[in-house]
Amino acid sequence: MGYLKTLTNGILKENPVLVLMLGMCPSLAVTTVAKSGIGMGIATTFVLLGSNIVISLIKNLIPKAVRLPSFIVIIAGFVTMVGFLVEAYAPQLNKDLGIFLPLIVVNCIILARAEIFASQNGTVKSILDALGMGIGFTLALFLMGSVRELIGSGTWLGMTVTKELVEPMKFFVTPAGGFFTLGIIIAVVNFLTHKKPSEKNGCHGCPSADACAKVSE
Amino acid sequence: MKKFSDIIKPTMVLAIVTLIVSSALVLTYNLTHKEDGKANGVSEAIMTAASEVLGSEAIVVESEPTDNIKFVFKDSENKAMAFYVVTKGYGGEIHMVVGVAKDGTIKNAKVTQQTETPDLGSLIETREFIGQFIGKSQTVEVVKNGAKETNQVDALAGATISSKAFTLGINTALSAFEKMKGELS
Repeated sequence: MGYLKTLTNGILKENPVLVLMLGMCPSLAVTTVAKSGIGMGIATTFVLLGSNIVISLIKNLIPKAVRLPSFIVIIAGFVTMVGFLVEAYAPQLNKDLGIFLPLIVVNCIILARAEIFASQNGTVKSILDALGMGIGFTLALFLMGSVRELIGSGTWLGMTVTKELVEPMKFFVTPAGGFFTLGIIIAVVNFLTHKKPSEKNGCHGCPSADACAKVSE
Repeated sequence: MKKFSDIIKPTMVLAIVTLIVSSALVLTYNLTHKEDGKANGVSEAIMTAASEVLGSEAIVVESEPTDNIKFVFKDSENKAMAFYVVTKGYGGEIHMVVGVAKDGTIKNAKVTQQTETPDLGSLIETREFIGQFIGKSQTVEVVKNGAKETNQVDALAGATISSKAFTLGINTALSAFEKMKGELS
């Protein structure tokens, strides 16, 4: 896989939120306004970059038995660091993201990239992968935040857009509106990338296939 | 030497990783927490809010006189007092600064922290809502069908609990002022 492809992979083809379906919780929770979507995206990108670099550097020194604990410790370290920095230099962002900032630790995107990519590839590729995934995550959150803010509050990045013209639909700011927006965006992305369900996916892979078949008989 | 590679080496590696990460964190903590700007445990943000409500530089009078009141402030000319009150709203705690003028009327108020429902309960922050309280001197009551008496205010539509929580904060400040107004002489 070429270097450029590693970078662009995370943006659309393997977008962490819209295609891989990772990191759903922060994606839904912080995207009530576009600005906190960007903030969350940048914070996550930073953690992703740090953990990918460190893990790709030390991957050969870590014994298999403690691989995951070591990764988690490194990731948690970067997250706490980002937490301190945001708290000190961007208190408003800290307030907007709330509990979801420390919860980046358990964001599956980061551990997934550490495990799938950084622990098997060189440092340069891991940096590109982290940047690509980070940009993809940030763009997805920014898109969701924009849609929800525009329709739900009539503003965009804090600027009044349609607030005066149309009554904002507050539903889009609520959690249910988040799911709704996410579903529509995923559908649009699948349409644009012509993604089809894989042939391998079928009832036989599902643990409740037997029970399901009995019911339908 | 199976024991070494199976048990001792992984343990040591994990310990070293943890040690390095902790040291890095200590370093970041020291870099970012140098100056908190805290005087008497009051953060910069609260001091700013108190000064804004009082209309001039706030001075801390007391810390935690009761459970709901975290700080008491006054201005340098003894014209008003401000109370940092915490009440329980619909979505969590509501933190607010309430200013009471020397004559016992509400001078101003400001919500510093809240997690109420966006666009419903969160409207307690707005001038339109807070403005209703300015000038009140008796225990304020929230009503739903239009305020008639001088001590009544209109609840926010769809956010009665938030409105009541904010009003409780105002009333807490008013009764605390009655007890503490001696500070202003």
